[in-house]
Amino acid sequence: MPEVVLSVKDLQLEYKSRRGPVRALRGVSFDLYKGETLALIGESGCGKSTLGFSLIGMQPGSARITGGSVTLVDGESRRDLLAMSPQQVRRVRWTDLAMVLQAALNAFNPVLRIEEHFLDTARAHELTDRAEVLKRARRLLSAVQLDPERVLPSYPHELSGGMRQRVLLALGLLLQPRILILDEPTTALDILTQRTIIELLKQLKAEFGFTMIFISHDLSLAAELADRVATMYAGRIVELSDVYQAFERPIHPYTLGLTSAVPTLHGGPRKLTSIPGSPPDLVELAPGCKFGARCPLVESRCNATEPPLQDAGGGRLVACFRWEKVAAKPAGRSDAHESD
Amino acid sequence: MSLIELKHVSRSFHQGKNEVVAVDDVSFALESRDIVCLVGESGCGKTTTGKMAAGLLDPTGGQILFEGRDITALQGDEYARFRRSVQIVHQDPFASLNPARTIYQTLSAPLLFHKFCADERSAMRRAVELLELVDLTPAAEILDKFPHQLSGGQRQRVAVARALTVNPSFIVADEAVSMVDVSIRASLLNMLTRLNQELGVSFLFITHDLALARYFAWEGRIGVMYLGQMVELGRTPEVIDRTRHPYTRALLSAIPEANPRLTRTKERIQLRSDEVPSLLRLPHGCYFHPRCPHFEAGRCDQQSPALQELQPGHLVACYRAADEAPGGVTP
Amino acid sequence: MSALRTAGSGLLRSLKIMARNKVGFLGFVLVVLIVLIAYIAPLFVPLDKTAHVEQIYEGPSASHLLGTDYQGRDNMSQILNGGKDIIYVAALAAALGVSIAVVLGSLSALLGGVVNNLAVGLAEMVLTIPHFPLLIVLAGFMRLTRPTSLALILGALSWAGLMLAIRSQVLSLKEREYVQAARCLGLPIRHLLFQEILPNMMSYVVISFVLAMTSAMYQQVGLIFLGIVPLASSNWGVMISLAWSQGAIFSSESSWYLLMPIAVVALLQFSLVSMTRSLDELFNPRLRMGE
Repeated sequence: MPEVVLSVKDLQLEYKSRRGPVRALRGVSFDLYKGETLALIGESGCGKSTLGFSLIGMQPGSARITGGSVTLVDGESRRDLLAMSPQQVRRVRWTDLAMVLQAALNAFNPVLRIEEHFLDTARAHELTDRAEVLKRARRLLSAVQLDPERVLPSYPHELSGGMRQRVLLALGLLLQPRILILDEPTTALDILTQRTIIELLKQLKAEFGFTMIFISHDLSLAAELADRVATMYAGRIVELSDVYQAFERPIHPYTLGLTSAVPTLHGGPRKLTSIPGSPPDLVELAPGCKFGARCPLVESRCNATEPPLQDAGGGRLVACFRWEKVAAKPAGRSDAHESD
Repeated sequence: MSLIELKHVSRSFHQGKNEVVAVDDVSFALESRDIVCLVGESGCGKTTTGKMAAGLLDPTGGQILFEGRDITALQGDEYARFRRSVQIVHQDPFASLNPARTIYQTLSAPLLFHKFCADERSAMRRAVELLELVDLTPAAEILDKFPHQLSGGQRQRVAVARALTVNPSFIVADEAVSMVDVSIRASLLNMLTRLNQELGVSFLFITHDLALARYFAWEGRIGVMYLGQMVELGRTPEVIDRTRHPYTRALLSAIPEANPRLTRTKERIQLRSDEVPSLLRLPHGCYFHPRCPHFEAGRCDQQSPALQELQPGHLVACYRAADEAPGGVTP
Repeated sequence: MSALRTAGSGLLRSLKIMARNKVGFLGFVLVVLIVLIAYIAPLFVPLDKTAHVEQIYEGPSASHLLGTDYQGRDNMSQILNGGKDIIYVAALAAALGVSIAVVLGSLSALLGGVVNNLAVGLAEMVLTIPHFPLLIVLAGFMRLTRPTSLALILGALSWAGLMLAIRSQVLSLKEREYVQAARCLGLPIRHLLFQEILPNMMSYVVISFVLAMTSAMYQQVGLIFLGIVPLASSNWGVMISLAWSQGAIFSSESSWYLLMPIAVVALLQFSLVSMTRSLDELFNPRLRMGE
């Protein structure tokens, strides 16, 4: 049995809105195993970024966690992040759990040089030895293939998008976190830069041995980097599978729909299919399976009760009454449901 | 005579004291019912090329021909006909529709102004037809909505319907599906393909996503741009499966694919440098030479290779590819 | 009948949207009240013009709710009668200034070239002329007693800054994708301006109108106070001016006479400025998305 480093149980979160609470997370549960890479995939509004931010206690001010637990496991010690004071959370952030944001300019303070960003982050964790911090920063910047002597004295706007993403990676690793969360790490980057970052992530992971959660709407990135894939829909995990199984034999109709909608560079002309309809309104949720309205396999019980996340064997979890029917379909891609 | 032809088109911009060449001597033509996908990374000039082809930006060099005639020479009714024949669909579904106008207002304005419809009643009927053509149903319910009441995918469909109001023969689609969620993207692409096949609309489809380009231009062509120049242009299977330019090859090898076995075993091409030269300080010779794994000193850094037809319909701007050309060997 | 009903429901909906911002809505209600009172009250409460020496500078009482002035006249009746002209001049001046700014600003942005150079040059010229001294000079040549002529002059001098702001807004709006698409569809300039561009800066224009009103009001009261505009009629500005010249600031008894017009002017200004928040809710399509 692999060692668990983070355990999320029934996490619930709501945003305030004029129309009423937006139920962005509706009972998310999963265990993160030591050393693995877990991809959170799903479309905009499915709750994947909200989940990422709430894991490090950085959910926006309009959000309120209404239930569940996020437990950091370290050998015998078990600490519930949601029960911690803001101060304690701040201490855990960066050292246990660090998040690497999208490489937008606003992930940096524009008036501070890159070295100040490293020093400030370290200072917040009582690491005040300037020389020691800079030594570590240099090593990390070299690890992300940047020239420390050039980058450290620069201001954020003087760096390109790919360089900024690498600096953020190095910054995320500064306090040697056990878990690194990456939010859309390569979105907005060009293809060749994206490739560099992907290779870098693989190397860094091999070198530093952290556990990784990454959030992306880009399925191909998940196919490339993840060990396991969690598909999210309407604020819940609907399928959690090994990466090969997720792409080759998905067992949730939504995962099947997603994988059938992405074009590839190989194979004959294949009609891509899309999922009809659009995601549900998270303010006024109907009972039953939230994917029901878009699902080709929907039947009456799906509209009555929401299927729980259940064990589908082989370490896979799925929230679908009819998953065996999905699994029985001959290998996913060519036989996706024709629709729209 | 081609529907639209770009002949040695260039476009430069002033940036402070400097002159930046965004598009450098690009030539290609589209026939009726044709599809060309322009691909390349940011700053390669694909969007600027698209804007010029749509007549929204004047080239600073070269000519754009519409049905054989230079568009700058078109006057009066002829210009009006060109203006209606060539439409554009933009990338951002949140910016492409006027937030203050209902869908009906957006669609009816060109219908009424160009007298495609005599009165509001027939404009209403036509608007419903157009919305159904782009698979927006029930169309009657959409008409009175404002853009913010629609999803991103629905907005992009409205943007396509708006372009169709004037019965165009050519549509420039600039990253038209990039910002739409994956699950909806395919149906948008399929809808555009149908317009191409059934109405005979030609498309210049601009995207950074080669897999998407391959899907949409399955029976058309792909043009790869790098730093303002066209480096490879040919029928889609030629460009994707019998790639000749090292830059295209590098792109293809770098793209992660939604198939874990495939993407993890793909051969990766190592470039000599990750740094993209600035448009302000372009290298001598072939613009790709500082990064190219096949770089030959004394040749590639001297003079820029011309775009030549190496196989029928397959154009490549690379000395090495030209060396290998006659036999059609692919390394 | 049904047209009336749709208009009614439209009005109700607009009010609901405006009510989303509490302060803004309060401002709106106050503005409506003040304007209504200023125009209706004079029909019922005539201006008290006769001097009553026996009741000079009295405090509030049942017969004189706001006290009396230096001639023993009723302050209340002067306040109620003194708003009409002030509001009229402010509104007319603002309407003129904003119209010039919108027309010149959008034309120079859309047409560019010579039109742009001329309009921007003119605006810069108007901006460099110091307004108050100019008004003083003008007052020497022209009879500024008629509110309309005063309003026209104030309006003609107030458009320049706003015009440059609107020009830059149109310049950015015209690069929006939906404006490009409309250009691509071959729609005429008037469509681009009135259908695509202006509706998206309506909130800015409306708010600018309200702010132009407030500044026209201050200028007007200031001009009256300084005696540059003859004290022909009775209005809040005249009241302040007379209170000042009659030495009302020196005695506490006379404070009601001085403070009342200042209070209404301030109240109206406050209401106008707060109202802009609700107007933003109403006219800004970005904010309306929360509907």
